[in-house]
Amino acid sequence: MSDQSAELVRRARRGEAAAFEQLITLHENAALAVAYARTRDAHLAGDATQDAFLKAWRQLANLQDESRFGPWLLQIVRNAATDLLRRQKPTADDTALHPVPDDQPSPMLRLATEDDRQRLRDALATLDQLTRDILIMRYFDDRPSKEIAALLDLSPAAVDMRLSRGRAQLKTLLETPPSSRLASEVKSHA
Amino acid sequence: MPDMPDQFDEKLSALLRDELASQRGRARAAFVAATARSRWRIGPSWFAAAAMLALLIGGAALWLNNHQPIDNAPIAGTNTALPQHVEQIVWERQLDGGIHVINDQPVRMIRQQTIEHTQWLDSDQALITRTKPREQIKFVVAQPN
Repeated sequence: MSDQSAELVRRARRGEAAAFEQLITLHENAALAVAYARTRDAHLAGDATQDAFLKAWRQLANLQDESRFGPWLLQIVRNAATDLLRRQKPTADDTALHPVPDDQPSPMLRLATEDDRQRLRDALATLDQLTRDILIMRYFDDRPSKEIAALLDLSPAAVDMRLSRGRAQLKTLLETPPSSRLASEVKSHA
Repeated sequence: MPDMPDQFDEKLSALLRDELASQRGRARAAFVAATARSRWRIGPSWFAAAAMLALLIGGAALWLNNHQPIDNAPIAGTNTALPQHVEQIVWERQLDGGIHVINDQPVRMIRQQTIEHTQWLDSDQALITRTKPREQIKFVVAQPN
């Protein structure tokens, strides 16, 4: 993938917009995953990804090594997401307003499903930043460990280890009933 | 990943795909729109080139005007029907710009103004009209009274 990207970067540097469009197609999911890991909001992640690609196009001459377009782009995505969050004014919590598909059989089941999803979001938020990046890249994009490792400057073994630990941490959090979690949190604060 | 996929993996994948699916394709669309806009944006270099071109055209027109044979000079108010349905009307007037002193020499300024109105039919038989205003300033040594 980095070879393919390097060739596309070379063509894009000569002003070939079509080559940069292909780079967007290749790297958009990874960019969205990293942006979502920071913003925890799909729309903001889309904004950050869009800003980052436009910035990357303008600053393509600054990229030293053409084969490292992916890691370079993801750093721009991280900065764009941080900038967006900084500019974002605090708003009321709209977690109850997430759209729920209409093909669910009963309102009770719909509530249970949305509750499950919210618990997953909350659990994801407890992970450290790098583990969250890795988990979202894997589960959103089915990206192999080798590619994730290349994008994040890690070894594939380190990616697998973080995937395994992060997944175990999420499962533990989700298997713990909310009431006992609350009780343990109260106990720890006492 | 060493762990076996289970219901948890399916739920996490479904959550992320549902949330982020609507954002796919936005970056590409924004890039295409931005590059299309910048193709039409006129930068400072374009202004410089346009100004240079205007100067060249102006210079060429002035040179042609000064090198026209006297016999072919347009006569004020003349309507000349030329071949290929070309019509050209030229209005010309001279205005006295008053006495000025240049290098301690009194000179009279003469402003020669011309409006050239041309009409012709193009290959599609469409009527094209062009109006070209022009002004030349001449200084003539003023004769003492």
